[in-house]
Amino acid sequence: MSRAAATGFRRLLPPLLTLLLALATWDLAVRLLDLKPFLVPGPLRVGRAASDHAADLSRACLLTGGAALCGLAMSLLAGFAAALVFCQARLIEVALYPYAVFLQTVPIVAIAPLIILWMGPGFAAVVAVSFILSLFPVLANTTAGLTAVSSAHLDLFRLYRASRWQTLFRLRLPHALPHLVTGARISSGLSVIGAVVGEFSAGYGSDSHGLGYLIIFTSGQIKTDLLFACVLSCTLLGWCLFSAVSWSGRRILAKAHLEPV
Amino acid sequence: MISARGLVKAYPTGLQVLAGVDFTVSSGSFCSLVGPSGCGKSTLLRILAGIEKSSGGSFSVELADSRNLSYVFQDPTLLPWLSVAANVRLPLELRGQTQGQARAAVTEVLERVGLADFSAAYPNELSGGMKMRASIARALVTRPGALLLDEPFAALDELARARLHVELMNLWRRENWTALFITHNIAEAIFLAERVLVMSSRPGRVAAEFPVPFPQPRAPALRSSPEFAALAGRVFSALEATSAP
Repeated sequence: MSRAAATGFRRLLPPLLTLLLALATWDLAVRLLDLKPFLVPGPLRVGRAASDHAADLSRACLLTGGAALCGLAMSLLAGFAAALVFCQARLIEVALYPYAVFLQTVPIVAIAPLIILWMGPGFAAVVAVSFILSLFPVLANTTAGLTAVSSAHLDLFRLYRASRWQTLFRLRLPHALPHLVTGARISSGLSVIGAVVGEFSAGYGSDSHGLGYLIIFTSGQIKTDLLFACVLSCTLLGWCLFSAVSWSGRRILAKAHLEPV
Repeated sequence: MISARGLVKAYPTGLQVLAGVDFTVSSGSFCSLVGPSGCGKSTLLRILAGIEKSSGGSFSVELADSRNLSYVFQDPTLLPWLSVAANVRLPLELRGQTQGQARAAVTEVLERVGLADFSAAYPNELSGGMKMRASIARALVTRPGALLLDEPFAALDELARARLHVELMNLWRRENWTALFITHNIAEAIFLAERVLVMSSRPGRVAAEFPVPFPQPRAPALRSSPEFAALAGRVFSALEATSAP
């Protein structure tokens, strides 16, 4: 075994052991407490349900993942653009920022049906819910990164009579990049939750279902084992998106010689 | 020439930082300004550099051949995402020069501060002394007519500091910019300068002035001579006399 592989194995071993231990405890608890499968199915039962519906589940994961990815991409673009506007004029920031906080505090489950009412069911509506839920972390972090530049660096740019654009492109933007990455990491998990919540109210059509729809459907039919499989799929999907965003963020920051925040 | 006449700085809160500062630094000379912490030394430098506004009095910075005024900050203030060469190039690029136009000047100034081999390195790979060298190179790359230095060596260890003293003096003797060097270290102030100004505690004004008679070039051994110690003692007494107990 090469040295890198050995290090990787040693890094993977503890979380893997945790997983095994958790599965064993779960299984043991279900057996010893004699829990009814429709209340709490054991891990083997959930695994069997997942493999029986593997095709449905993976198609749902792709749809939900696609919607989440679109929502996240829109959040990145819109959040970044809004942060740029905020950092250019303090007045605009003060006037609009309190309302941007609405995005964070609005009960998304309550307004998701409204959005679907306005946009009609389908992919676009699901993306819209995901977008609303994941916008704020990008916006807030990027705004902080653009405005919280050190006063010594601002003095340096002032000394050389740098223009507003030079200060933006050469100082504020590079300084904000690590903050943008942090915002994107938080938003990546939220975008999946947003897509699932969107799917609770809106389907994609008669024969394509996302994870949100499957969750509603299986809980209605008391197919608890499949419900568990759906919930685990959601979690796994969010984890994958978070890891992918974290990994690319680390790569970008390392290339740009920037420290993560 | 750098001069100030009755320069006053007060904040709207009523805090008075400078109470009528008077001095003149003639062209091409090296002048140190010592004062207790919080006496407004940095504020004075920032006003001269145009980063801050004064509340009264006047000052002038006269530079020959439309040369500029440069500033060495207390911290190196390098941009961590730029290489040493790119950091040093920044003032030229802010003036609209391209990378190609600036290349010769950057290479040359890095050579002069002894960083020629580190032009591709990034700030986090440098020692404190090397960061300060890069910061000085950035200030010198525009071929300034005057240099304001705000306690640039305060965070360095003794050895790095002593080396940079000699290097800074060599640079000054070759390029002959007007220098105003702020410090609270009396030995540093004397060793570098032709003249030492003593500033009173807040609100600051120039309370005393000492010519430094030692000829150039100065060797580090000068610090342990009796004449040096005597002058340092007189500066210390002046500083003590102006500081409120």
